[in-house]
Amino acid sequence: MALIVPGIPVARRGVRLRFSNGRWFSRIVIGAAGLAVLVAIVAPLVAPDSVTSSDIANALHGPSAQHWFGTDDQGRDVLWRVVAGSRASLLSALLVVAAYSVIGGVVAAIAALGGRFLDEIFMRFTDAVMAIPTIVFALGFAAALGPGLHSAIIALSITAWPVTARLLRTEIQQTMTRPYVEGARVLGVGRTRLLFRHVLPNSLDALLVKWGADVGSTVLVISGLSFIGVGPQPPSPEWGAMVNEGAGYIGSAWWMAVFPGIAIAFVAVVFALLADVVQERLAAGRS
Amino acid sequence: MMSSIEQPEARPAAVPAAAPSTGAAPGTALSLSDVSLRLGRNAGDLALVEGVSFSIAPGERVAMVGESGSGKSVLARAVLGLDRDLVVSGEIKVGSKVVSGRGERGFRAVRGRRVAMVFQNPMGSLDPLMTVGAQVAETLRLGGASRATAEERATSLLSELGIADAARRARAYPHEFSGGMQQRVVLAMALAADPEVLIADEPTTALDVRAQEQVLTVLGDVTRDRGLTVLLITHDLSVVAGFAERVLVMYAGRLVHDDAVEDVFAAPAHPYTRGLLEAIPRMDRRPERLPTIAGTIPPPGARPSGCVFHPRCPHAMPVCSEVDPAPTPSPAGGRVSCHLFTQPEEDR
Amino acid sequence: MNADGALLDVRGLSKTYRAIGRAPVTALDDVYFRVPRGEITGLVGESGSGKSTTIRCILGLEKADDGWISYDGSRLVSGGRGLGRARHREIQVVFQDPTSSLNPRMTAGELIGEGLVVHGLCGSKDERADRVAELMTLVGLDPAAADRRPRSFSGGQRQRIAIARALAVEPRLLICDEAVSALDVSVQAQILNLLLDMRERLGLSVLFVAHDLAIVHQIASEVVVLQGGRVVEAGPCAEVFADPQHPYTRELLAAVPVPDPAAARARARERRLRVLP
Repeated sequence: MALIVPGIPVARRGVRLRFSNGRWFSRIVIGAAGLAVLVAIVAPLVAPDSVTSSDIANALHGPSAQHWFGTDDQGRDVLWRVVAGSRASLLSALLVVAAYSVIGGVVAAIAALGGRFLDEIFMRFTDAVMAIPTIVFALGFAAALGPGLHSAIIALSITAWPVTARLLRTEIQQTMTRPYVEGARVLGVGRTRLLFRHVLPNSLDALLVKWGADVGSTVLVISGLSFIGVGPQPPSPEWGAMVNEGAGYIGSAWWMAVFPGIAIAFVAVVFALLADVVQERLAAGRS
Repeated sequence: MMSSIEQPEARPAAVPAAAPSTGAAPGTALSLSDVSLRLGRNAGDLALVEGVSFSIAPGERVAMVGESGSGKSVLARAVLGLDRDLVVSGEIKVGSKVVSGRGERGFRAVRGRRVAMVFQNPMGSLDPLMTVGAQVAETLRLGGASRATAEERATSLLSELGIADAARRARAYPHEFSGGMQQRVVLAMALAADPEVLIADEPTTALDVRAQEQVLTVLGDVTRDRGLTVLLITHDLSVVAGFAERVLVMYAGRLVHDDAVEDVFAAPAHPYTRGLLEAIPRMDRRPERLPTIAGTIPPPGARPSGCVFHPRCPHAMPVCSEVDPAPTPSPAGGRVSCHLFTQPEEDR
Repeated sequence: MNADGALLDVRGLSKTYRAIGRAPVTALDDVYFRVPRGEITGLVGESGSGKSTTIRCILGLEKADDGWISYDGSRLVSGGRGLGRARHREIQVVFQDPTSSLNPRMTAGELIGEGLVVHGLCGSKDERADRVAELMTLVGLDPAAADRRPRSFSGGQRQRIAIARALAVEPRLLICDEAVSALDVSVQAQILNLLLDMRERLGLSVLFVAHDLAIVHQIASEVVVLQGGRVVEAGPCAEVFADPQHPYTRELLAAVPVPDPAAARARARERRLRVLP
């Protein structure tokens, strides 16, 4: 049962209750997500060449002081490949989620605010896009633009936005009926300001959770695409591909599949939690 | 319909156990002594309610009045142990039975069976997918009644609460009822378990004027007929006048005034009670400006030292900011916590 | 059209809600009333009486099927974009629930100053901050609290923010939609007095929508009684309350709680005799 204590200034209540159960946890989550992104940006720049070049003599060594995560079947350091692979996996997943969030957001805003006619057109278009299978579309893209990370990112961004658009449109429509939005209209607030000041910030809650969860699943989809030859191609490191390659050695060299697998799980969990934390922080601004 | 069938035999034994009425403690139906409610176990933790004591005699109809933030609702909910994150200190007794201090078990023994509660929003207590008759009957069947008896009793309860053509209306769904009618159904559900004490938390606040008056009238009738003990929680002193015999006034987590209803309205002892009373707009007079109580009620954690009301009190004296006034007999024979009535030498 | 000086004149306002598969619901049927300049007019009725629809039509949040709303002598086209920005400035509204009518993500200062920004009423930021502080003082709030968000204010303080926000653009007509119904009596009295002050000091005209007749009696000079989307009685408060003509008005009056135990009990007894079959 939620306990409602009217009139307590936020800061005072926050300090008391959140220190014990939320504040450090949320800092850790934010820190972990930030670190992951930082690594994804910096690592490929500093990674040694050995990330992609093979050294068969050192193949399939287990974790040691020299190679913390062991080496793979080509004798490449698994730790470095996981770190370097974060660009293809994490950074591109974030890029995909950001791209389709924007596309979905624009479509949703136009549909929700543009009147019945535009709503009908945009939503039917959304339904049509929703019907396109990502994989087939991506294969087409790869055929046109050549296989590679860019094809995968574009294909995913273009096919994945409809769910966001649908959810967000409903949320926006609901927020539009809130008394404070009507109040702002009566005050004479123009459409742009109404959208960005009053409607959007109060419509994103459900979406944040979805986007957070999507980061993890997008990493998996990208590796799926690279497996069928659309995404990043060997020998460039990519977590999904590493898990696939490693699966064949799971009996003899478990570290090949397990460490990139942990990386995927880590990213999926951290960003899902990050969404929760952000949502909570936003909610703290309200009653 | 659906869920009512599965549970009836679950605890038939509970009812005979609870049924013998409280012969043991003749004087009280509900009593609180030195009850405080805190957000944690430490002395420094935020206290929502502090040191409240009162008792209600069987059959007595008492109103607890206060502004939002006074702690009246949390306190009422605490009688049934509804807020689990609250730490209750002091003692809450229903009849002669102590319900506090034993965790969930203490409260579960009295919830619904001996103490029933209705809330402000009737729809929150009604299942939208079940007919109202079935919902009332469900409570009766939990008490061990057979299906036919339960349905019959449900209909008669509904009609007792002023629902015309109850046999037919019992087959309707909650959304087909107006707010006032829904609240009557909720009352019927509460009464179906044949409780000794009814706690009504702002039962008419969400209703229109006419519905409010009707629900209060019918609530008065059924509880009077049954000799039920009632604790009515409200922020509106004006609805109290025709309903209650006694008024408890809460302010900033304290019980500051406890007097018979006539005395409260005729000559309110506590300055806060007087302020509340004077602020009510009335049909029989129209002052240029309504008298107001300056300032706002302090939130828990920002309550002043001494008398909690002194920063807003028109009669504040130096002592008021230093010493918390203990409850003393009011001129009318009740209790009041105010330095206007304390004898300085008895004070410490 | 209004040589007689009414600021707002509503005539023949009608609206029926139609939905596929449902019987049409007549929300408003030939509603008429006037809000005289510088006066407080009470619009009284229970839920479903059409009070809300009426003001939504005036505010342009909904479109009436038929009827005429004239403001300051010129016709307001209700619905959608009919109300121009200038009109938006002149008619402001305060809703019932100050919690849901204030954007939770904005600070008190931003909320109060928003109208100033939107209508370009204050050039510089400092000027705006000064005006916000002035408005906060006017409605009895501490200007130092301008950077706090609505949730850290009490219900009454939030309603003061809502009033300051509405007053910021210097409206001539303030519509209060059950603006004090959700408040505690002591806070309610403060807000009612504040409205009376604003009327005196700023010459504000107020359309005060409420279901509580005692409040209307305290604050309004004219009263309009709505039932089922129709005006059943209208006139000066003193007359209507002293000698109600319509049975519905009499019923509403009889239901107003009497803050006097003996009288209230006597009335309850008498009612019971009448109500019981």
